[in-house]
This record gives sequence, C-alpha cells and structure tokens, in this order.
Amino acid sequence: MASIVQTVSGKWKELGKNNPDFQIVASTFLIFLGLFIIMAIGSDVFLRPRNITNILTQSAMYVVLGVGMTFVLTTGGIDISVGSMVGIATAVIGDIIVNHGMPVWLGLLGGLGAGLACGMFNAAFITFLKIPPIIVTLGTWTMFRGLAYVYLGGTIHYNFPRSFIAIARGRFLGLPIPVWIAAVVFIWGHYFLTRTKTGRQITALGGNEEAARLAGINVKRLRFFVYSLMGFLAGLATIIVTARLDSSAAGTGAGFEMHTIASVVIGGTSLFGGRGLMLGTLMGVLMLGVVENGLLLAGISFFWQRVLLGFIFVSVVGFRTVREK
Amino acid sequence: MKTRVLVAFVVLALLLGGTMAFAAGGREAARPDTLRIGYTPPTLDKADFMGQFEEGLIKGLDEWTQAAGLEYELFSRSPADHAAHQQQLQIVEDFLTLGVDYIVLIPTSYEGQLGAYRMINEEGIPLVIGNYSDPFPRDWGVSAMRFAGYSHYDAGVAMAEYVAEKYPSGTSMAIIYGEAGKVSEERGAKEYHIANGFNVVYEDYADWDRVKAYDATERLLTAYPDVEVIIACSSAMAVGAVQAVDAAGLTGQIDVYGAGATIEELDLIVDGRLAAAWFRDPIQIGEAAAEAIQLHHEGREGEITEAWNVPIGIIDSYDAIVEQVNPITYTGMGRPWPPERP
Repeated sequence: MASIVQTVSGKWKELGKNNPDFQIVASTFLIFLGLFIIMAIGSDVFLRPRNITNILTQSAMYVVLGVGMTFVLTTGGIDISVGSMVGIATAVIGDIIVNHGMPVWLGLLGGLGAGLACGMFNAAFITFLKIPPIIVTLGTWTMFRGLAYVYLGGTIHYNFPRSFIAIARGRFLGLPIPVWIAAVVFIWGHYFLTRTKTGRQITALGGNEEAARLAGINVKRLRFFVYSLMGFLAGLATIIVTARLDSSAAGTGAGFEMHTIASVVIGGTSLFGGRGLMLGTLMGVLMLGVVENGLLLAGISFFWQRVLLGFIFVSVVGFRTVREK
Repeated sequence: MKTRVLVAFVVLALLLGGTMAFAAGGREAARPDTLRIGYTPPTLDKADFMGQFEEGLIKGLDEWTQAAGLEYELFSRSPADHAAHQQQLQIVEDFLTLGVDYIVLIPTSYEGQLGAYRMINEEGIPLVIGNYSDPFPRDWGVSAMRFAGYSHYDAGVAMAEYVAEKYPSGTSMAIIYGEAGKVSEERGAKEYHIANGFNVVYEDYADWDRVKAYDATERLLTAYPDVEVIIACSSAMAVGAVQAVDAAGLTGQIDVYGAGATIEELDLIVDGRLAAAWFRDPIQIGEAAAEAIQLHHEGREGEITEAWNVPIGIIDSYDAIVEQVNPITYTGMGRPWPPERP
C-alpha cells in the first residue's frame, strides 16, 4: 500500500514539475474541493441532488461564456462587452419568437447571429484598426447595451413558447439541457485549445505576438476568430438565460462580464496572455457557483456573501501570483 | 512555497468555515414545525421601499406568530441590483432547494421573472408578489395568492394631476425613467403630462440608479436649461436628480418630483429641495404580505384578496409627512417620530 502511495505521489510530483499548467489546474481543483467540503459542512441541503443540479444549471451559462473568454484572454486580450452582447441577443430572440411569432429555430439562429455580429464588430476594430481590446470592448459594452434598449424600445418580451423554455427546463439522461450544452462547449473548447494547431497558435500569439508573427502565424486571422467566437458563445449563453427567465429584457446580462472574467482568472488563465486553461476555467466557474450557492444556503447574510466572494477571488489569484514568483 | 500556499488555503478555509459556523450559531435551532419563508426583493437597502416592506413583513409575521405560538424563519436574499434578473431566479431556485413553505417575491421586473413564477407554481409553493397589485394576465398561466402592492399607474397619474395644478401650460418637463418597461412607463405617465399641457423636452433611463440619474440630470441641464420640472420615477433617482440640481446651483429654480417618499426623499422635502413625492405605505404593504401567509397557513385561503392595493398620496410638506407617513419609516431607521419640524 505504502509503495503504491509513494509511486502515485512520485508520479504526481514528476507530472507537476514538468507541467506548470497541471500544477495550476490541480491547485485550483484542490481549492475547489476544499470549498465544496466547507459548503457541504455548512448546510445540510448542499449535497442534495437537487442542489447539485441547481449549481450545475446556474453555472452552465458561465461555462459557455468562460470558454470564449479563455480564448480571448489567452491571446492577451479581454472582452468586457459580453454582458451587453447578451442584452442584444436576448432582444433579438424575444423579438423574433414572441413579438413576431416566428419559429423557435429562427429565434435561436437570430440570437446566435446577433452574438456573432457583436463579436465580429469587436474583432474588426481590434484586428484591423489595432485599437486595444479593453478600449474597444469598453466602448461596445455601453454601445451594445444602448442598442438593446433602442431595439426593445422600452418593452420586455415574455411568455415564450414551451418548446423554447424546454431548452432550459428539459432534461436529457437526468441532467438539465443547459448542463449538456455547457459540457459540449467545454469539451470542444478544451480539445480545440490543447489539441489543434490553431489552438496552439492562439497560445503562442498570447505568449509573444512578434515571435508568433515571425513563425508565420496569421495573427490577424486568429484574433478575429477569437473575438467572433466570444460573440457566438455569448449568443449561445443568451439562449440559456432567456429560456430560464422566460423573458427578454434589455438589461439582461448586466454584470456577466465580471463574473466570467473572474471565473477564468481564478482558473489560472493568464490575464496577460500565453496561458489558457479550459479545465481551470471549468473549476473557476464551478468554484464561484458553489460558493454563491453554499453561502446562501448556509444563511450567510447577503452583504457578507459579496465580501467573501471578493475575498476568495483576490486570495486565489494572489496565492497563484505569489507561487509563480 | 508549498507551506505558504497550504497556510493560505487553511486561513481561507478557516475564515469561511468560521463565518458560516458563526452564522449558523447565531440562529437558534429551528423547531420542526417552524415556518420557512423566503423573501427576495431587488435590494435589501433599509432606506429603500424594499427594506421598509421587509420591516412591515416582519412586523406582521411577528404579531401573528407570537399570538399563535408559532415560530418562523425568514430567508432574506437579494440580487446585486435591480437589473440582475438571472441572480434573482437563482435565489428562487435556492429557496426551493431549502424547502421553504412560502415565497415573498418582489420581482426585479414584473414580466422579467416569469420563469421564476412558473418554477414556484410547479413546486406548489404559495407565492406572494410584493410591489405590484395587478394579478398576472391569464395567458401567462401562472398565479400568486396575493399581489400586495399598489398601482404604479395610479401613482404616475396622481403625480401628473398634482403637477398639472402647479404650472402653466407649456412648461418644460424632463422625465427620468428607471429600467425600460411597464413600471417606468406607468410611473412616468408621459401621456398624461402631455395631455395636461407640459412640454416634455427630455427623457432618459437611469436604471433606478442614483448616480445614473445624477448624470442624466447633468446632461439635461446642459441641453435644456429652460427645464422647470423634473419627474424622477424612483426614490433613488429623485435623490440623484436633486443632488445634480443642487450642484448646478439651480435649487429653487427647477422643481424635482420624486416617487415613493423614502426617508431620504422625506428629508429633502422637509429641506425644501424636493418639491414632492407620491407615497404609498411600504410597511402596510409588507403587513399585507404577512397577512396572506397567515390566512393561508390557517386554511382560510378563501379570505385572501388576490389584488391588495394601498392608496397613493402626495407628500409635499412637513405636515403631510406627519399626517400620512407610517412612523416605522422613521423609527425603523433609528430616527425620532415625529421628525423635527424645520
């Protein structure tokens, strides 16, 4: 028995030594596990299957957004307009399905298309005009939200058809559909970033843009791709949130950007580019989901919840920064 | 380095564990027959309508449960802001996981929380809606046992009629709405103001937010210096507008009208910086929510009035405050009642 433990421990150490990404993901997982255990101790309903399903469903949308944001941050960029993209996409979905009574599939295409269009708008300014991403997306953060209000003209669309609501409330093999959507997006994102040539080029671009260019990587194409992808995934996340709420309001999505960026950074993806960890992002999203849910169930006051969430974010990122130094 | 990380993690775990243990220890062990009530408004700010509603809810529940020898546990949770629809839905889901007996919901948006209503109805948990007195339209397929609130439409019209008597036809007016939607429209009552002869030169949406209303007022003062009347559709936005008018040195030249008459607005009315605000008693509305729970628990569902409406008044002076405002509005904030006469 002792020899097995020694062997596993030795292999673990060896793996960690050769692979810093593994160390980060493993440490994120340990922190997640620790918090999960604490929350389970703090509330007698935390481990109920229904609550675990709640956490997964509530996190699904952030996983989808997180995958997109991981790509963006890996290139050394940032996109703070995602919440506002959700505002536009939900307005389009509501307009098509509720206001015009068109088929659900057309509304879904509209939502995805609206997100993609917003992403491509950001991508065009960042790629071709070479304006820093934070400036472009800060501008479009306001602009997209404003457009959502203009588009809806002060109205809210609600009472979607059952077939649309089923996207959020339907189940497949016992799990809510948003969880499956998030799982597919996550697996694809992980595979694409780590196993494909384009994925590795994205990491290389974030690590050293000049070196990437000299190595023959089409930097413009890659950058355009990641911001467009972010928009598309924002459209997909919007479908989930709109179906969950059974309504589309222009204010939907406010604050999503900070939650998403925080999740990705907690997961170990570097804000400065060159390191993207999809597994870490998944851990980061689940960590915030578990903490938010667990604190509420444990009866921690709302005001303390905000303090603790912020503290956890600063602590996790702080530990990692100290560790890396 | 490993030790440092381990120590840091342990500190984090202790902090969280300790806080949770503290919170859990702070509550007495609940009896098995304890009523569990989930309350989720868009904000828990005590100075806001929602905070005062909670005071009324607690007052009503205390009075009933003490007399009946019952115990209750109130879970009060709010999303980050008035537009955080998704967060409020999550809170409702968590209430359902907790197995609450009743849910009192002041929705971030009347139409925007349809998903939450459906979920609550499907679980068979009795629902009380606060801040609205209009029952859900039939085609939504959802219901609540009581709508404890007031008519935002009546409030908007009451203010429109009040200001119409004070200004000549052609007076320039600005309206600052909250988030776009039914409530903003009804409280703003733009059509009434126009019909009463006002010239509505500026409209803006400030998301029920004080700072955004301050900014909107600054913009309108620059663009339309001839504006004489500003209608703000919420208490926080009225305070923001008053502050912007003060900062521009225009107090006394431009009249700001508020909505809801929270304690901050009442102070501004006493100071003469806010011309008036429409008023409905949030304490009474909170008590009406508690009454619905009581009636349901006692099996007297037939006595629950679905639409429970509190009347609207206009507060424009110290005397009107003393006459109409519920003393708890002041005493709940640790303030003396009646307030000091200016």
